[in-house]
Amino acid sequence: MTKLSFLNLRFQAVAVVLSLVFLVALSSCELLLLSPTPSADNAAVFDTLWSTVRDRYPFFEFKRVDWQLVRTNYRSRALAATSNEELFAVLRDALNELKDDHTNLFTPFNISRARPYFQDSTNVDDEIIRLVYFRNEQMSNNGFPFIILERDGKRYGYIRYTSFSNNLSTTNISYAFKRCKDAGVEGIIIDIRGNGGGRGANGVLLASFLAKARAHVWTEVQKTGLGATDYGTPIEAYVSPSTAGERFTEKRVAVLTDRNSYSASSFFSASMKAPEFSHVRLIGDHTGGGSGNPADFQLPNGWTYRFSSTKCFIPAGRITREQALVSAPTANHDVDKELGYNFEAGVPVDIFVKINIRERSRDAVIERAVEYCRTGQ
Amino acid sequence: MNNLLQKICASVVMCILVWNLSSGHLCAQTQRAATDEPRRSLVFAPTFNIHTVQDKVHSPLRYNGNSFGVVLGYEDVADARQSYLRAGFSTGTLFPTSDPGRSNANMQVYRAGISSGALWNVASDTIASNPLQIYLGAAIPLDAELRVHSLYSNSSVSWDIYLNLALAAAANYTFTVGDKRLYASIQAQLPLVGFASRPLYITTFPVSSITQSLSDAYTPTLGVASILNYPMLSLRNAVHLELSNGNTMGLSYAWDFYNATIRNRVENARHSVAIVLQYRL
Repeated sequence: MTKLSFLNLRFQAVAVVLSLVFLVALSSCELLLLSPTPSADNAAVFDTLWSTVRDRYPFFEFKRVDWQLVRTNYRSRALAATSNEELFAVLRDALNELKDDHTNLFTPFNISRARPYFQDSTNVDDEIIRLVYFRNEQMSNNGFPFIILERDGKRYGYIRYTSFSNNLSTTNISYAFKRCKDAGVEGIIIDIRGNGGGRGANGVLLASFLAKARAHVWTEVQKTGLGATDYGTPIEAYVSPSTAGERFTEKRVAVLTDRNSYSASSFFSASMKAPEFSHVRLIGDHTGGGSGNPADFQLPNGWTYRFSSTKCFIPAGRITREQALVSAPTANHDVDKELGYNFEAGVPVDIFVKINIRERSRDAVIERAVEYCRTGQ
Repeated sequence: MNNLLQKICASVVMCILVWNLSSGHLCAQTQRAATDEPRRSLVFAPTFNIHTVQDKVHSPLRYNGNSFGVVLGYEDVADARQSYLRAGFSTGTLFPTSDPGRSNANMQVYRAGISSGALWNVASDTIASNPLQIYLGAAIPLDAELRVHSLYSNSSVSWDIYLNLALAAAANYTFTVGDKRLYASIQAQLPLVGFASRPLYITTFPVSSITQSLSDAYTPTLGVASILNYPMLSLRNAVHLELSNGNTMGLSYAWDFYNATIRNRVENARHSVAIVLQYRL
């Protein structure tokens, strides 16, 4: 065999090896390595949702929810569903057993909501605010509208912030607070009733304009594994006083809340319980809670859903057991008591006031807030 | 669509293979220049990728799609050893393998990586005496892939970051067609041990991160990655044609795969076809 023919054979051998590599790769050999695409039948869809929630939802014990019973009650209904709409209804009802407004099922044709406090009467009437308080004279202030109210010759700033999804800037907050200060107000009323949440960063920004000093506002715990007690090291969250703009720390502040003040509204309200916000009182109805940071997941049929994934606590000593039971009488408040108060079921108000829906000339919560700003009581 | 693209890519590469195989007779012409000096070159390669991801942190579904990118690099290939430094970036959109009417979810994928390696000739032949050279050595790949889910809110981002020490092997074959000089190469990497970062078990955005630095808010996610919990494999094949000025132009095909079981399981496979331009220094 000549050297050249030897090289020829050698090259052909290499080419054959290369070919095999190419062929193996190009025949999508990773399909052998990848997990199979899951079945998308009703049983698989229900089981995926149920087991994911079982493994990752943090509030079963706190809310005394028997998730195994949910499986017993709903799985057969899911298997019997004959349309997307029927399956959606079953999964929605199963998720709503969590009584958690951070729980949603998203499909192309519908989105579920839990609304655990839907039956609680609302504690705000925006028509009264519009007709009696704003009277079309408010400063719109880019989604952070305010007006100066006058009562018995004294002035009070009133701010209506309806969604933490509305972008909030240092400029907006500072402008409102400066105008209030320039008007010589006795205090400021920040109305977040009906504010269903949004960007938590907006709440932290707003709190930074009210903080007298750096404040430990809440403690967060994240699930780290499949086990019921697999939680990571608690993470303390802090709010520092804003270094820019006009803070409001010298006079009283009333934050108005109700059961529809949810998620970011509850985080903001929880922050106000820190001693560095001693000039602030929560007035109205307890917030709707929502201390769990929602995480998103997908079902084998392509639908997506989300539910609370973390637990957050108001540091110990700020909420009494009695206050906790008032805002959430059925919750298991002994859980994680060393971390403080889990505000998943609501942040208790300092002054409880309900509006009278028939009273069209005043808002009892706002008027009570005025009284607090005037008297400190 | 992806199947069609895969078939097209397969056809292209098969053409290369058939041409390779049929060019066996050309070995008779592999009379190499006696003075075979090291080739140092800069590399520029726009890439087209077919990408598959199955990330169970958020979904049981497999996502498929295409991405485009570019690879830049430096190579130094000689008889005795070869070394390289490559950096790449690609981005694209992947879609779930579910009934299209039931989901409008998709994910945007961003992958960036840098890899360096040094390999030594184990055949102890010179290119002048043997056109086939086998190299073995080590490589250090650092790769990161960020995936942004369109429908998700608080946990819309997941990622894989891995830094590994890998075994590396390469085979180069040099030959001529007519008066044209060509180089065929195959490279493989098998990472053995390193570090990896994956998202938290449940959420990728702790709410505390809005009040303090991410490093304070995040539970550390860096873990040891070994061939046991982070098996990876990377193959890269190329054929280059030497141009008259010593530069080369080529076609490469790469396949890489990893399967991590850190916190949650992620499986990731990518086919990549590139036009490779090498500027000889």
